[in-house]
Amino acid sequence: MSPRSRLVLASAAGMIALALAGCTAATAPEPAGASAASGTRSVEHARGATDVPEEPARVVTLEPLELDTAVAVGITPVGAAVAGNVTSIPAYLGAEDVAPVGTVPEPDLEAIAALKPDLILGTESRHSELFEQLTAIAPTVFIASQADPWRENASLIGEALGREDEVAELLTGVDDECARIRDEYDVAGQTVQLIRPRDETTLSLYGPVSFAGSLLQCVGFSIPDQEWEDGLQADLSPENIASARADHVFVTAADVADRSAIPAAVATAFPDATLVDTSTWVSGVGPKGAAAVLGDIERYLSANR
Amino acid sequence: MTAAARPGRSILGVGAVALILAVAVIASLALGANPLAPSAVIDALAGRGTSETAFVVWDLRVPRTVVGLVAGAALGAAGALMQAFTRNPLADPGLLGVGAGAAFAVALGVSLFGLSGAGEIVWPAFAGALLVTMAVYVIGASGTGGAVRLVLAGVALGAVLSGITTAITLTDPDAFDRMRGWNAGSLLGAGLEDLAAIAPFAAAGALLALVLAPGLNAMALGDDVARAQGVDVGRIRVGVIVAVTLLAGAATAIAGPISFVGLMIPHAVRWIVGPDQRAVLPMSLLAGPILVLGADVLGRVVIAPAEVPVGIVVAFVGAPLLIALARRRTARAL
Amino acid sequence: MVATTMDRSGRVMRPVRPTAAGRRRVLAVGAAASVVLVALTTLGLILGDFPVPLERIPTILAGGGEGIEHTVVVDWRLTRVIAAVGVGALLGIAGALFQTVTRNPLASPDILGLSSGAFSGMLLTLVLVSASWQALVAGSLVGGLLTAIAIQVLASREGLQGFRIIVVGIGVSAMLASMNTWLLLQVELETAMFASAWGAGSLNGVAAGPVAGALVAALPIVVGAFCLVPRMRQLELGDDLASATGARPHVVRAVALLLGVGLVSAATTVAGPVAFVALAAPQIARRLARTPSLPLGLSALLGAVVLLASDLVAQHALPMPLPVGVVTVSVGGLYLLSVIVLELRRRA
Repeated sequence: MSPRSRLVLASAAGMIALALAGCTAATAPEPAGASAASGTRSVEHARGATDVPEEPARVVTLEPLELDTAVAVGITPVGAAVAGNVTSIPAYLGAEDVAPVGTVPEPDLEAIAALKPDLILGTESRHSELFEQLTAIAPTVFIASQADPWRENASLIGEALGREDEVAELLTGVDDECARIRDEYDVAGQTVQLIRPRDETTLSLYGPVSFAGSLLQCVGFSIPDQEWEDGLQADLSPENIASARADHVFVTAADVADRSAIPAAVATAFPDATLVDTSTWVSGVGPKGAAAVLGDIERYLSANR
Repeated sequence: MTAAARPGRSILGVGAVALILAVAVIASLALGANPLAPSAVIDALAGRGTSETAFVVWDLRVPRTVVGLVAGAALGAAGALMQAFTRNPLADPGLLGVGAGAAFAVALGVSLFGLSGAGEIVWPAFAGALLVTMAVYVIGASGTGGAVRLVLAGVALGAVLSGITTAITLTDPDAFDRMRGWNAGSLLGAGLEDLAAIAPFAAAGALLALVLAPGLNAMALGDDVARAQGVDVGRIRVGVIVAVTLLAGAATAIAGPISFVGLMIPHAVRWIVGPDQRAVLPMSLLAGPILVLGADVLGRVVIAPAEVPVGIVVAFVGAPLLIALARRRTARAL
Repeated sequence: MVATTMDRSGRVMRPVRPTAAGRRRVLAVGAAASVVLVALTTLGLILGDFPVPLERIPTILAGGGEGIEHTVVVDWRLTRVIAAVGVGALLGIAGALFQTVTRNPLASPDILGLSSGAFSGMLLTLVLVSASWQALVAGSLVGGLLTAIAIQVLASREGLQGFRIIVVGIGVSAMLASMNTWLLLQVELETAMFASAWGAGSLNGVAAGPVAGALVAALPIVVGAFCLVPRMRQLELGDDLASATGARPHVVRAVALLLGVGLVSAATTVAGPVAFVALAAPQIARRLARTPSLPLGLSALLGAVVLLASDLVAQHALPMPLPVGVVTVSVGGLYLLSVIVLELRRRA
């Protein structure tokens, strides 16, 4: 047999051997951590029922809403998935010593395992195929989708953390705060527009179903009708900026002090536009983010009374 | 085709191209995501319109028309130069690494220096394009001629830079967000001030291209034949690279990476006026803007009230045309 | 089996018989590459955020080890190493096939539109259907194959070596790339970044089942490729001579390309469109072994080495973990540059 064929067979045999070794050695992994805690209770979630510890002490969150809710009820996670590899935990949360464990769409399993958590929170619509592997590390609870109404997701997260009552209180608190601002400032009938500049030829308007849009509407503003995509946002060319006219215009930006970030079209059409922080108004979905947005709204209203 | 028939066809062709260009310019001013009536547009141009129409016409449509003219002309001429110089009808200015260099510089600028405004990234993009093309020349130019090595060097360096650019954007969400917008190309990126500053470079490149035309004609049959006719091949090579860099670099800096124009326009132009570079180069300057402005106008109206960026539309307009051309004619070099 | 020499642009020169010394050299390079592969595999099993000492590895591989250790080493790291080795080998073979039958050392799956088609299929599935892994893989497979077919159909009048197929390939790839840019602008930022990472070629999150499935499915294609080698060597003599000696050039070329497409598709379902391995591995193999033609087995070995080494670098050697495709593109570009510079020096 020619030397090349021998080489080929040897390599193929080697590869097959490795593959078989991997397949036969893989046994069903046992979920770790559940028996170590003081007690467990069962939580129904997007992937069925899971036994989670009564008092989770080392939590890893894979979705910004889960991180926000956990911090809001006083549990600082030991690890959280972040937006990108050089960003850290959003500043508005005020949480420290949270280790990044990869990105939200692609969490780093080894980093999670190295933290030895006793509860993992994830999202079915993003992390579906990771469920078994995450369960091998610690009991795992999934919310169905990050696009679902955030208050429902927050309740499930509260249940998984053993803090349903506190989350319910926080959610009522958001509604009460909305009602208080509504009564104090009485902006009924006034229109508002939330604009997010995307690039030179596209501006996005955020609708009533979006996180910040829903908060604006709950304090009494109304957002003019558009053809919303999934009710969330509508894209606009700068030529049509005039159709985004409203009594109050908010523009998202990374740095609220830098007015040069406003695109020329918006600055010309709405010279009085107010800059708001993207990290809370767009990405800060959760109880603490809602509090920050409502705080921004109240500051704006009291300054422009 | 006889020599006598060719000039007649050329004159008709030039006239047709000029006419279509004029139509394209008018369309770029008259059409858009905002359905303004023609009378409103004319009023705004004359200074009479409302502030809203004046904004749309003077702040949006006029600048993008001018940018489209400059970028389209520059890309068309750069493509003609590349195809004549490499004697390869598939050559495109991007082969020298212009786009990759500009993208790399923009990604660095956004990620390290926090640049974001449209005007802020014009100069880094231009500088990146220039530096990379210089590097490609240093690596790839060899004494015995041959554009193959230059193109290989451009492809290789472009690959390295695109890898690093991807690395930068995947680790920094702000850079990623900015780059995905820049990648789509846009005629609104540069303001008229930036355009005025960069246009001289493009003009210099265009002049240089016209000067190089006779030498490129001589090189069409091979470097040795050209040398036998007394043409300094080495100097022409340097001249072509400088001209392509200035033209393609300026276009990418003001409009972002718009591919395909440099590839397609010379084919169409050669079909109309024949292979004489003294005709092809000026015609490419005229015909390039037609494709760019046409694509921009199309992008403004197809999904109104939103827009599709021009770089995306150009491929969808240009590629089918290119494929149709390739299928109909018998495949020959130039 | 008659070997031929090819000059750097792939043109056939004249027939040359393989020597005993040449065969020894091929074996030696193969053995060295195998050693490197074993070393890299060991590294791949030890390195990572979850600490596992080297001494524990044999125990864990044999089936022992606590639950989480076993999961980390076998389910995650070993699977990823096998995926890298397998995908690298498949891409190396595919590259050797493409480059031999098109007689072009720069031929790679991208020209046929497979990579951009696969990414486009994945993006469309992500936006329109679902983000589940199975859907994305199916979408990428369908996208790649549809694109390859479309290019073939559009260029059909001329056959596979022509100018026309390259033009059509460029045109189709450009349209797909534009569509990809548009889709990336439409989805939210995190999803776009995830899709881009996949589009660069990534071994993140590979699971044992799909990897085994793809490799097992690719095995008969690999066997077919090796059986085709004698016919391909005949093809290197030029079409006329090849027809005279009984090989049918068009059939051989079509079969080789079909096998190559199959290998690239299998590789893409595991790791997405990884660039440059298919391009560089056969050329490196040829240069190291100083053979006149592209050795298939050595290309497979070197493809595996290149991809595994790139993945280890991408995961552990950089300040932050990156998709493996980013490393292969950069390294591949550097490799091409060094080739150009070295050839310049040799000529000067």
